[in-house]
Amino acid sequence: MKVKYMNSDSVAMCRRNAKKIYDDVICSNKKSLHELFDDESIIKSMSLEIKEFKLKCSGENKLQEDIYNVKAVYESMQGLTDSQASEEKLWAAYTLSEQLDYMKKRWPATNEQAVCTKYLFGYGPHRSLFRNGMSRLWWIGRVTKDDSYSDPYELTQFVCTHTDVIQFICEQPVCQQYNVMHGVLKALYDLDKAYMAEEESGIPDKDRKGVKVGKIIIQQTGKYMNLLSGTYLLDLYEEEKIYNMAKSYIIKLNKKMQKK
Amino acid sequence: MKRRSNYYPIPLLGSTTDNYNASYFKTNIEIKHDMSDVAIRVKTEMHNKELENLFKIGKVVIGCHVECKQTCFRKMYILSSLDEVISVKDTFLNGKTEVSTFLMAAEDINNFGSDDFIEDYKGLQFNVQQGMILGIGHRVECIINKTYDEFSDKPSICSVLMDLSAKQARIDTSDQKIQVYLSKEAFNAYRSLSKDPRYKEVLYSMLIVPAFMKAFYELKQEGGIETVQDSRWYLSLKNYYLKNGRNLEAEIKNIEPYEETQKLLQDPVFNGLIKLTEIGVDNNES
Repeated sequence: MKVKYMNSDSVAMCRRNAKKIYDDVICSNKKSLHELFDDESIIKSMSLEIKEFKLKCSGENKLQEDIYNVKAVYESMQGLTDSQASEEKLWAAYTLSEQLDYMKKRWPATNEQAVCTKYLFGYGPHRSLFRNGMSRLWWIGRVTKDDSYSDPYELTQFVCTHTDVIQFICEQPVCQQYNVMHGVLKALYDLDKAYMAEEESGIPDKDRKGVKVGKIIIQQTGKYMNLLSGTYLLDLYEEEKIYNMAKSYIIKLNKKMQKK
Repeated sequence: MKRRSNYYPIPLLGSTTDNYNASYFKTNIEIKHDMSDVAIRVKTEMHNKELENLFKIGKVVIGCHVECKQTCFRKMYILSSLDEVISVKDTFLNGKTEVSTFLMAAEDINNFGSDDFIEDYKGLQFNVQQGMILGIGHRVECIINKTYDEFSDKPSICSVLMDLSAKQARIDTSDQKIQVYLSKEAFNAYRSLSKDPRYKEVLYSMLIVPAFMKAFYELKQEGGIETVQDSRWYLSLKNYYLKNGRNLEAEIKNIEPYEETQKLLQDPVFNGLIKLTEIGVDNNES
Protein backbone atom coordinates (compact mmCIF):
# COMPACT_ATOMS: atom_id res chain seq x y z
CA MET A 1 0.00 0.00 0.00
CA LYS A 2 1.13 3.53 -0.71
CA VAL A 3 1.56 6.40 1.73
CA LYS A 4 -1.44 8.72 1.67
CA TYR A 5 -1.49 12.50 1.91
CA MET A 6 -3.59 15.56 1.14
CA ASN A 7 -2.34 18.71 -0.49
CA SER A 8 -1.92 21.73 1.74
CA ASP A 9 -4.96 23.48 0.22
CA SER A 10 -7.11 20.55 1.33
CA VAL A 11 -5.62 20.73 4.82
CA ALA A 12 -6.36 24.47 4.96
CA MET A 13 -9.91 23.70 3.83
CA CYS A 14 -10.29 21.08 6.59
CA ARG A 15 -9.12 23.59 9.17
CA ARG A 16 -11.54 26.22 7.92
CA ASN A 17 -14.39 23.66 7.92
CA ALA A 18 -13.54 22.00 11.24
CA LYS A 19 -17.10 22.43 12.54
CA LYS A 20 -18.61 20.66 9.51
CA ILE A 21 -16.05 17.86 9.77
CA TYR A 22 -16.83 17.48 13.45
CA ASP A 23 -20.60 17.38 12.81
CA ASP A 24 -20.83 15.38 9.59
CA VAL A 25 -17.71 13.20 9.40
CA ILE A 26 -16.82 12.48 13.04
CA CYS A 27 -20.03 12.67 15.07
CA SER A 28 -22.89 11.72 12.81
CA ASN A 29 -21.01 9.60 10.23
CA LYS A 30 -23.24 11.24 7.61
CA LYS A 31 -20.42 11.83 5.15
CA SER A 32 -16.88 10.82 4.38
CA LEU A 33 -14.30 13.55 3.84
CA HIS A 34 -14.47 13.28 0.06
CA GLU A 35 -18.27 13.44 0.16
CA LEU A 36 -18.15 16.53 2.34
CA PHE A 37 -15.96 18.39 -0.15
CA ASP A 38 -17.31 16.72 -3.32
CA ASP A 39 -13.79 15.67 -4.14
CA GLU A 40 -13.03 12.02 -4.91
CA SER A 41 -9.32 12.73 -5.08
CA ILE A 42 -8.90 14.69 -1.85
CA ILE A 43 -6.75 11.80 -0.51
CA LYS A 44 -3.72 11.22 -2.73
CA SER A 45 -0.99 8.56 -2.82
CA MET A 46 2.77 9.02 -2.75
CA SER A 47 4.87 6.52 -4.66
CA LEU A 48 6.42 5.27 -1.39
CA GLU A 49 5.18 1.77 -0.55
CA ILE A 50 4.61 0.77 3.06
CA LYS A 51 3.54 -2.42 4.81
CA GLU A 52 -0.15 -2.53 5.58
CA PHE A 53 -0.87 -1.96 9.28
CA LYS A 54 -3.91 -2.34 11.47
CA LEU A 55 -4.21 -0.34 14.67
CA LYS A 56 -5.65 -1.68 17.90
CA CYS A 57 -8.21 0.28 19.86
CA SER A 58 -10.48 -1.87 21.98
CA GLY A 59 -10.48 0.85 24.64
CA GLU A 60 -9.63 -1.70 27.36
CA ASN A 61 -5.99 -0.74 27.85
CA LYS A 62 -5.20 2.34 25.85
CA LEU A 63 -1.60 2.65 27.01
CA GLN A 64 -0.69 -0.95 26.15
CA GLU A 65 -2.42 -0.59 22.82
CA ASP A 66 -0.46 2.61 22.20
CA ILE A 67 2.77 0.60 22.48
CA TYR A 68 1.49 -1.86 19.87
CA ASN A 69 0.31 0.98 17.62
CA VAL A 70 3.59 2.93 17.85
CA LYS A 71 5.47 -0.17 16.72
CA ALA A 72 2.94 -0.89 13.96
CA VAL A 73 3.05 2.63 12.49
CA TYR A 74 6.79 3.21 12.87
CA GLU A 75 7.77 -0.20 11.50
CA SER A 76 5.40 0.17 8.58
CA MET A 77 6.36 3.76 7.73
CA GLN A 78 10.08 3.70 8.51
CA GLY A 79 10.73 4.64 4.87
CA LEU A 80 9.49 8.17 5.52
CA THR A 81 12.16 10.81 5.99
CA ASP A 82 11.93 13.07 9.05
CA SER A 83 11.01 15.89 6.74
CA GLN A 84 8.10 13.96 5.21
CA ALA A 85 6.94 12.73 8.61
CA SER A 86 6.81 16.33 9.84
CA GLU A 87 4.14 17.22 7.29
CA GLU A 88 0.63 17.88 8.55
CA LYS A 89 -0.77 17.00 5.12
CA LEU A 90 0.44 13.42 5.45
CA TRP A 91 -1.03 12.77 8.88
CA ALA A 92 -4.29 14.59 8.16
CA ALA A 93 -5.00 12.04 5.42
CA TYR A 94 -4.77 9.28 8.04
CA THR A 95 -6.66 10.97 10.89
CA LEU A 96 -9.52 12.19 8.71
CA SER A 97 -9.83 9.28 6.33
CA GLU A 98 -7.56 6.21 6.41
CA GLN A 99 -7.60 5.74 10.21
CA LEU A 100 -10.78 7.63 11.04
CA ASP A 101 -12.31 4.71 12.99
CA TYR A 102 -9.21 4.39 15.15
CA MET A 103 -9.20 8.16 15.79
CA LYS A 104 -12.85 8.18 16.85
CA LYS A 105 -12.21 5.45 19.42
CA ARG A 106 -8.80 6.54 20.70
CA TRP A 107 -9.41 10.29 20.72
CA PRO A 108 -13.16 10.83 20.95
CA ALA A 109 -13.81 14.42 19.87
CA THR A 110 -16.09 16.46 22.11
CA ASN A 111 -16.00 19.65 20.06
CA GLU A 112 -14.71 21.08 16.80
CA GLN A 113 -11.51 22.21 18.54
CA ALA A 114 -10.44 18.55 18.68
CA VAL A 115 -10.41 18.49 14.89
CA CYS A 116 -7.71 21.16 14.96
CA THR A 117 -5.67 19.69 17.82
CA LYS A 118 -5.92 15.91 17.36
CA TYR A 119 -6.80 15.47 13.69
CA LEU A 120 -4.70 18.36 12.34
CA PHE A 121 -1.65 20.22 13.67
CA GLY A 122 -3.12 22.60 16.23
CA TYR A 123 0.00 23.57 18.17
CA GLY A 124 3.48 24.72 17.12
CA PRO A 125 5.24 22.57 14.51
CA HIS A 126 7.25 20.59 17.09
CA ARG A 127 4.56 20.02 19.71
CA SER A 128 1.99 19.05 17.06
CA LEU A 129 4.11 16.05 16.06
CA PHE A 130 3.40 14.54 19.49
CA ARG A 131 -0.23 15.72 19.77
CA ASN A 132 -1.77 14.74 16.43
CA GLY A 133 -3.44 11.34 16.91
CA MET A 134 -1.47 9.62 14.14
CA SER A 135 1.83 11.52 13.88
CA ARG A 136 2.45 10.94 17.59
CA LEU A 137 2.61 7.19 16.95
CA TRP A 138 5.35 7.62 14.32
CA TRP A 139 7.31 10.24 16.26
CA ILE A 140 7.23 8.40 19.57
CA GLY A 141 8.67 5.43 17.68
CA ARG A 142 11.23 7.70 16.00
CA VAL A 143 12.57 9.27 19.18
CA THR A 144 12.38 6.24 21.51
CA LYS A 145 13.48 3.28 19.40
CA ASP A 146 16.92 2.28 20.63
CA ASP A 147 18.83 -0.56 19.02
CA SER A 148 21.17 -0.88 22.00
CA TYR A 149 18.41 -2.82 23.82
CA SER A 150 17.56 -6.43 22.95
CA ASP A 151 14.03 -5.14 22.43
CA PRO A 152 14.55 -1.82 20.57
CA TYR A 153 11.14 -0.66 21.79
CA GLU A 154 11.93 -0.99 25.50
CA LEU A 155 12.08 2.79 25.98
CA THR A 156 8.92 3.12 23.88
CA GLN A 157 7.07 0.96 26.38
CA PHE A 158 8.30 3.14 29.23
CA VAL A 159 7.27 6.34 27.45
CA CYS A 160 3.82 5.04 26.48
CA THR A 161 3.08 3.98 30.05
CA HIS A 162 4.45 7.25 31.51
CA THR A 163 2.76 9.69 29.16
CA ASP A 164 4.01 12.78 31.02
CA VAL A 165 7.39 11.98 29.47
CA ILE A 166 5.97 12.96 26.08
CA GLN A 167 4.99 16.43 27.24
CA PHE A 168 7.85 17.22 29.59
CA ILE A 169 10.77 15.46 27.88
CA CYS A 170 10.00 14.63 24.24
CA GLU A 171 8.47 18.04 23.56
CA GLN A 172 11.37 19.95 25.20
CA PRO A 173 13.55 21.62 22.54
CA VAL A 174 16.75 20.68 24.39
CA CYS A 175 15.76 16.98 24.24
CA GLN A 176 15.48 17.00 20.45
CA GLN A 177 19.14 16.07 20.41
CA TYR A 178 19.36 12.27 20.41
CA ASN A 179 22.03 11.95 23.13
CA VAL A 180 20.14 14.26 25.45
CA MET A 181 16.78 12.57 24.84
CA HIS A 182 18.13 9.06 25.33
CA GLY A 183 20.37 9.96 28.27
CA VAL A 184 17.38 11.41 30.12
CA LEU A 185 14.95 8.64 29.10
CA LYS A 186 17.36 5.91 30.17
CA ALA A 187 17.98 7.57 33.54
CA LEU A 188 14.24 7.77 34.23
CA TYR A 189 13.65 4.25 32.94
CA ASP A 190 16.48 2.61 34.90
CA LEU A 191 15.47 4.27 38.17
CA ASP A 192 11.84 3.32 37.64
CA LYS A 193 12.78 -0.27 36.76
CA ALA A 194 14.96 -0.52 39.87
CA TYR A 195 12.08 0.79 41.98
CA MET A 196 9.69 -1.80 40.55
CA ALA A 197 12.17 -4.61 41.24
CA GLU A 198 12.75 -3.39 44.80
CA GLU A 199 9.02 -3.09 45.35
CA GLU A 200 8.55 -6.68 44.23
CA SER A 201 11.35 -7.94 46.48
CA GLY A 202 9.97 -6.04 49.46
CA ILE A 203 13.19 -4.08 50.09
CA PRO A 204 12.66 -1.50 52.87
CA ASP A 205 12.20 2.10 51.71
CA LYS A 206 15.41 3.36 53.34
CA ASP A 207 17.55 0.83 51.43
CA ARG A 208 16.05 1.44 48.02
CA LYS A 209 18.06 2.83 45.12
CA GLY A 210 15.25 3.07 42.61
CA VAL A 211 12.83 5.97 42.19
CA LYS A 212 9.12 5.81 41.55
CA VAL A 213 8.87 7.94 38.43
CA GLY A 214 5.71 10.05 38.42
CA LYS A 215 4.57 13.34 37.00
CA ILE A 216 6.54 15.62 39.36
CA ILE A 217 9.82 13.77 38.82
CA ILE A 218 9.34 13.85 35.04
CA GLN A 219 8.29 17.50 34.98
CA GLN A 220 11.18 18.64 37.19
CA THR A 221 13.69 16.62 35.17
CA GLY A 222 12.51 18.36 32.01
CA LYS A 223 12.85 21.74 33.72
CA TYR A 224 16.30 20.86 34.99
CA MET A 225 17.54 19.91 31.52
CA ASN A 226 16.14 23.15 30.18
CA LEU A 227 17.88 25.10 32.92
CA LEU A 228 21.20 23.37 32.23
CA SER A 229 20.90 24.11 28.53
CA GLY A 230 20.90 27.82 29.40
CA THR A 231 24.54 27.64 30.47
CA TYR A 232 25.93 24.53 28.80
CA LEU A 233 25.68 23.41 25.22
CA LEU A 234 24.41 19.95 26.13
CA ASP A 235 24.57 18.97 22.47
CA LEU A 236 28.28 18.54 23.01
CA TYR A 237 27.89 15.90 25.72
CA GLU A 238 27.95 12.13 25.30
CA GLU A 239 24.79 10.23 26.17
CA GLU A 240 26.50 8.69 29.21
CA LYS A 241 27.31 12.10 30.68
CA ILE A 242 23.70 13.27 30.23
CA TYR A 243 22.51 9.98 31.78
CA ASN A 244 24.67 10.50 34.87
CA MET A 245 23.65 14.14 35.24
CA ALA A 246 19.95 13.31 34.94
CA LYS A 247 20.22 10.29 37.24
CA SER A 248 21.98 12.12 40.05
CA TYR A 249 19.47 14.98 39.78
CA ILE A 250 16.48 12.60 39.97
CA ILE A 251 17.91 10.78 43.00
CA LYS A 252 18.52 14.09 44.81
CA LEU A 253 15.05 15.34 43.90
CA ASN A 254 13.47 12.12 45.12
CA LYS A 255 15.27 12.35 48.47
CA LYS A 256 14.13 15.95 48.83
CA MET A 257 10.55 14.96 48.07
CA GLN A 258 10.65 12.11 50.57
CA LYS A 259 11.82 14.45 53.33
CA LYS A 260 8.82 16.74 52.83
CA MET B 1 18.58 28.62 19.61
CA LYS B 2 18.09 32.12 20.97
CA ARG B 3 20.35 32.97 23.86
CA ARG B 4 20.47 35.80 26.35
CA SER B 5 23.91 36.97 27.26
CA ASN B 6 23.02 37.99 30.82
CA TYR B 7 22.60 34.38 31.99
CA TYR B 8 26.24 33.37 31.75
CA PRO B 9 28.48 32.68 34.73
CA ILE B 10 31.66 33.63 32.85
CA PRO B 11 32.61 36.62 30.65
CA LEU B 12 31.22 36.30 27.20
CA LEU B 13 32.76 37.29 23.89
CA GLY B 14 30.48 38.45 21.12
CA SER B 15 29.01 41.42 19.39
CA THR B 16 26.33 42.26 21.99
CA THR B 17 28.29 41.89 25.20
CA ASP B 18 30.79 44.20 26.83
CA ASN B 19 32.77 41.76 28.96
CA TYR B 20 35.97 42.32 26.96
CA ASN B 21 37.58 45.57 25.84
CA ALA B 22 38.86 45.16 22.27
CA SER B 23 38.36 41.42 21.69
CA TYR B 24 35.66 40.13 19.37
CA PHE B 25 34.10 36.94 17.99
CA LYS B 26 32.17 37.47 14.76
CA THR B 27 30.71 34.96 12.36
CA ASN B 28 29.12 35.31 8.97
CA ILE B 29 26.64 32.60 7.95
CA GLU B 30 25.56 31.85 4.36
CA ILE B 31 22.96 29.18 3.61
CA LYS B 32 22.38 27.57 0.22
CA HIS B 33 19.76 24.92 -0.48
CA ASP B 34 20.58 22.76 -3.50
CA MET B 35 18.70 19.69 -4.69
CA SER B 36 19.01 17.61 -1.56
CA ASP B 37 21.58 19.33 0.61
CA VAL B 38 21.66 22.45 2.68
CA ALA B 39 25.16 23.94 2.63
CA ILE B 40 26.02 26.24 5.52
CA ARG B 41 29.17 28.33 5.22
CA VAL B 42 30.52 29.86 8.40
CA LYS B 43 33.28 32.46 8.25
CA THR B 44 34.71 33.35 11.64
CA GLU B 45 36.73 36.33 12.80
CA MET B 46 38.15 36.07 16.28
CA HIS B 47 40.41 38.41 18.15
CA ASN B 48 41.49 37.49 21.67
CA LYS B 49 44.96 36.23 22.53
CA GLU B 50 43.97 33.69 25.18
CA LEU B 51 40.96 32.23 23.35
CA GLU B 52 42.87 32.02 20.06
CA ASN B 53 45.59 30.02 21.81
CA LEU B 54 43.02 27.68 23.37
CA PHE B 55 41.40 27.27 19.94
CA LYS B 56 44.74 26.30 18.41
CA ILE B 57 45.22 23.49 20.94
CA GLY B 58 41.60 22.31 20.65
CA LYS B 59 40.46 23.23 24.15
CA VAL B 60 38.08 25.78 22.67
CA VAL B 61 36.04 25.02 19.56
CA ILE B 62 33.70 26.88 17.23
CA GLY B 63 30.30 25.23 17.09
CA CYS B 64 27.61 25.66 14.49
CA HIS B 65 24.24 24.66 15.90
CA VAL B 66 21.52 23.70 13.43
CA GLU B 67 17.99 23.30 14.70
CA CYS B 68 14.69 22.59 12.98
CA LYS B 69 11.84 22.22 15.47
CA GLN B 70 9.44 20.83 12.89
CA THR B 71 11.60 17.75 12.24
CA CYS B 72 13.06 17.43 15.77
CA PHE B 73 16.50 18.04 14.25
CA ARG B 74 19.13 19.50 16.52
CA LYS B 75 22.83 19.07 15.99
CA MET B 76 26.05 20.80 16.91
CA TYR B 77 28.72 20.77 14.20
CA ILE B 78 32.26 21.39 15.37
CA LEU B 79 34.19 23.58 12.95
CA SER B 80 37.88 22.99 12.56
CA SER B 81 38.75 26.13 10.63
CA LEU B 82 37.77 29.78 10.41
CA ASP B 83 36.10 29.31 7.03
CA GLU B 84 34.17 26.09 6.72
CA VAL B 85 31.18 24.65 4.92
CA ILE B 86 28.97 22.03 6.55
CA SER B 87 26.37 20.06 4.70
CA VAL B 88 23.03 18.85 6.07
CA LYS B 89 20.77 16.45 4.16
CA ASP B 90 17.51 18.26 3.60
CA THR B 91 15.56 15.13 4.53
CA PHE B 92 16.25 16.23 8.12
CA LEU B 93 14.94 19.76 7.64
CA ASN B 94 11.58 21.26 6.80
CA GLY B 95 10.37 24.83 7.22
CA LYS B 96 11.95 27.19 9.73
CA THR B 97 15.57 26.31 10.48
CA GLU B 98 17.85 28.16 12.86
CA VAL B 99 21.62 28.31 12.59
CA SER B 100 23.60 29.69 15.54
CA THR B 101 27.32 29.90 16.15
CA PHE B 102 29.24 29.67 19.39
CA LEU B 103 32.67 29.59 20.88
CA MET B 104 32.70 26.91 23.54
CA ALA B 105 34.85 24.83 25.82
CA ALA B 106 35.57 21.41 24.35
CA GLU B 107 36.92 20.26 27.72
CA ASP B 108 37.27 21.60 31.26
CA ILE B 109 39.60 24.61 31.40
CA ASN B 110 40.96 25.66 34.77
CA ASN B 111 41.94 29.21 35.68
CA PHE B 112 40.81 30.85 32.47
CA GLY B 113 41.52 34.56 32.36
CA SER B 114 42.17 37.28 29.83
CA ASP B 115 44.25 40.45 29.83
CA ASP B 116 41.44 42.03 27.82
CA PHE B 117 38.66 41.54 30.39
CA ILE B 118 36.86 44.75 31.28
CA GLU B 119 37.62 46.38 34.62
CA ASP B 120 34.94 44.34 36.50
CA TYR B 121 36.68 41.04 35.67
CA LYS B 122 40.28 42.26 35.58
CA GLY B 123 42.58 39.72 37.21
CA LEU B 124 39.82 37.18 37.78
CA GLN B 125 40.16 33.56 36.70
CA PHE B 126 37.37 31.12 35.97
CA ASN B 127 37.05 27.36 35.96
CA VAL B 128 35.28 26.68 32.71
CA GLN B 129 33.49 23.35 32.32
CA GLN B 130 33.11 21.40 29.10
CA GLY B 131 30.17 22.69 27.07
CA MET B 132 30.21 26.18 28.60
CA ILE B 133 29.73 29.03 26.18
CA LEU B 134 32.61 31.47 25.85
CA GLY B 135 31.37 33.43 22.86
CA ILE B 136 28.22 33.98 20.85
CA GLY B 137 28.38 34.59 17.13
CA HIS B 138 25.83 35.33 14.48
CA ARG B 139 22.43 33.57 14.35
CA VAL B 140 20.21 33.28 11.28
CA GLU B 141 16.84 31.77 10.49
CA CYS B 142 15.87 30.44 7.10
CA ILE B 143 12.94 28.57 5.61
CA ILE B 144 13.71 25.25 3.93
CA ASN B 145 11.07 24.69 1.27
CA LYS B 146 10.94 21.43 -0.65
CA THR B 147 10.19 22.16 -4.26
CA TYR B 148 10.89 18.69 -5.61
CA ASP B 149 9.43 16.40 -2.93
CA GLU B 150 6.62 14.42 -4.46
CA PHE B 151 4.00 15.87 -2.17
CA SER B 152 5.33 19.39 -2.31
CA ASP B 153 2.91 22.18 -2.88
CA LYS B 154 2.69 23.88 -6.21
CA PRO B 155 4.78 27.02 -6.01
CA SER B 156 1.66 29.23 -6.02
CA ILE B 157 1.20 31.61 -3.12
CA CYS B 158 -2.56 31.98 -3.43
CA SER B 159 -5.28 29.33 -3.28
CA VAL B 160 -9.01 29.25 -3.89
CA LEU B 161 -10.75 27.02 -1.35
CA MET B 162 -14.19 25.95 -0.18
CA ASP B 163 -15.80 27.21 3.03
CA LEU B 164 -18.91 25.14 3.70
CA SER B 165 -20.45 27.77 5.96
CA ALA B 166 -19.59 30.82 3.86
CA LYS B 167 -22.34 32.84 2.29
CA GLN B 168 -19.99 35.19 0.49
CA ALA B 169 -16.40 35.11 -0.65
CA ARG B 170 -13.69 36.14 1.78
CA ILE B 171 -9.93 36.49 1.73
CA ASP B 172 -7.56 35.28 4.44
CA THR B 173 -3.89 36.31 4.54
CA SER B 174 -3.09 34.82 7.94
CA ASP B 175 -2.04 31.36 6.70
CA GLN B 176 0.98 30.15 4.70
CA LYS B 177 -0.76 31.04 1.43
CA ILE B 178 -3.18 33.84 0.63
CA GLN B 179 -6.55 32.08 0.64
CA VAL B 180 -9.76 32.96 -1.13
CA TYR B 181 -12.72 31.16 0.44
CA LEU B 182 -15.89 30.55 -1.57
CA SER B 183 -19.21 28.99 -0.66
CA LYS B 184 -19.71 25.39 -1.80
CA GLU B 185 -21.78 26.44 -4.82
CA ALA B 186 -19.33 29.14 -5.89
CA PHE B 187 -16.37 26.84 -5.34
CA ASN B 188 -17.88 24.10 -7.50
CA ALA B 189 -18.48 26.66 -10.26
CA TYR B 190 -14.86 27.82 -9.91
CA ARG B 191 -13.59 24.21 -9.97
CA SER B 192 -15.51 23.53 -13.14
CA LEU B 193 -14.43 26.74 -14.92
CA SER B 194 -10.79 26.39 -13.86
CA LYS B 195 -10.51 23.22 -15.96
CA ASP B 196 -10.93 25.35 -19.09
CA PRO B 197 -7.68 27.31 -19.70
CA ARG B 198 -9.58 30.06 -21.55
CA TYR B 199 -11.04 31.23 -18.22
CA LYS B 200 -7.71 31.45 -16.41
CA GLU B 201 -7.29 35.24 -16.66
CA VAL B 202 -10.98 35.87 -16.02
CA LEU B 203 -10.84 33.82 -12.83
CA TYR B 204 -7.59 35.55 -11.88
CA SER B 205 -9.27 38.94 -12.27
CA MET B 206 -12.28 37.92 -10.23
CA LEU B 207 -10.53 36.06 -7.42
CA ILE B 208 -6.76 36.42 -7.31
CA VAL B 209 -6.46 40.15 -8.09
CA PRO B 210 -8.60 41.20 -5.08
CA ALA B 211 -6.70 38.71 -2.90
CA PHE B 212 -3.31 40.21 -3.80
CA MET B 213 -4.70 43.71 -3.40
CA LYS B 214 -5.88 42.88 0.09
CA ALA B 215 -2.45 41.41 0.88
CA PHE B 216 -0.70 44.60 -0.33
CA TYR B 217 -3.07 46.81 1.68
CA GLU B 218 -2.32 44.78 4.78
CA LEU B 219 1.43 44.99 4.21
CA LYS B 220 1.13 48.77 3.92
CA GLN B 221 -0.38 49.06 7.37
CA GLU B 222 1.72 49.86 10.45
CA GLY B 223 3.23 46.52 11.60
CA GLY B 224 1.70 44.76 8.59
CA ILE B 225 4.94 43.07 7.51
CA GLU B 226 5.79 41.87 11.04
CA THR B 227 2.42 40.11 11.24
CA VAL B 228 3.04 37.93 8.18
CA GLN B 229 6.83 37.85 7.92
CA ASP B 230 7.11 34.09 8.57
CA SER B 231 4.38 33.08 6.12
CA ARG B 232 5.40 31.36 2.91
CA TRP B 233 3.43 33.77 0.76
CA TYR B 234 5.23 36.83 2.14
CA LEU B 235 8.66 35.18 1.91
CA SER B 236 7.99 34.13 -1.70
CA LEU B 237 6.82 37.62 -2.61
CA LYS B 238 9.84 39.19 -0.90
CA ASN B 239 12.19 36.83 -2.79
CA TYR B 240 10.44 37.55 -6.07
CA TYR B 241 11.08 41.28 -5.58
CA LEU B 242 14.69 40.65 -4.58
CA LYS B 243 15.27 38.59 -7.73
CA ASN B 244 14.00 41.56 -9.70
CA GLY B 245 16.35 43.93 -7.93
CA ARG B 246 13.67 45.46 -5.71
CA ASN B 247 13.11 45.69 -1.97
CA LEU B 248 9.49 45.02 -1.03
CA GLU B 249 9.89 46.22 2.54
CA ALA B 250 11.40 49.53 1.47
CA GLU B 251 8.94 50.08 -1.36
CA ILE B 252 5.70 48.96 0.25
CA LYS B 253 4.62 52.45 1.37
CA ASN B 254 4.66 53.73 -2.19
CA ILE B 255 3.08 50.67 -3.82
CA GLU B 256 -0.37 51.19 -5.31
CA PRO B 257 -2.05 47.76 -4.77
CA TYR B 258 -4.28 47.62 -7.85
CA GLU B 259 -1.55 48.65 -10.29
CA GLU B 260 1.09 46.52 -8.56
CA THR B 261 -1.12 43.43 -8.72
CA GLN B 262 -1.67 43.96 -12.46
CA LYS B 263 2.10 44.09 -12.98
CA LEU B 264 2.75 41.08 -10.76
CA LEU B 265 0.15 38.87 -12.42
CA GLN B 266 0.92 40.18 -15.91
CA ASP B 267 -2.22 42.16 -16.72
CA PRO B 268 -4.94 39.64 -15.87
CA VAL B 269 -7.74 42.21 -16.22
CA PHE B 270 -6.72 43.22 -19.74
CA ASN B 271 -6.03 39.60 -20.77
CA GLY B 272 -9.27 38.43 -19.16
CA LEU B 273 -11.30 40.93 -21.14
CA ILE B 274 -9.63 39.84 -24.38
CA LYS B 275 -10.33 36.17 -23.55
CA LEU B 276 -13.95 36.93 -22.73
CA THR B 277 -14.31 38.68 -26.08
CA GLU B 278 -12.81 35.65 -27.86
CA ILE B 279 -15.10 33.25 -25.96
CA GLY B 280 -18.06 35.46 -26.94
CA VAL B 281 -16.99 35.39 -30.60
CA ASP B 282 -16.55 31.59 -30.47
CA ASN B 283 -20.01 31.16 -28.98
CA ASN B 284 -21.60 33.47 -31.56
CA GLU B 285 -19.92 31.58 -34.41
CA SER B 286 -21.09 28.21 -33.14
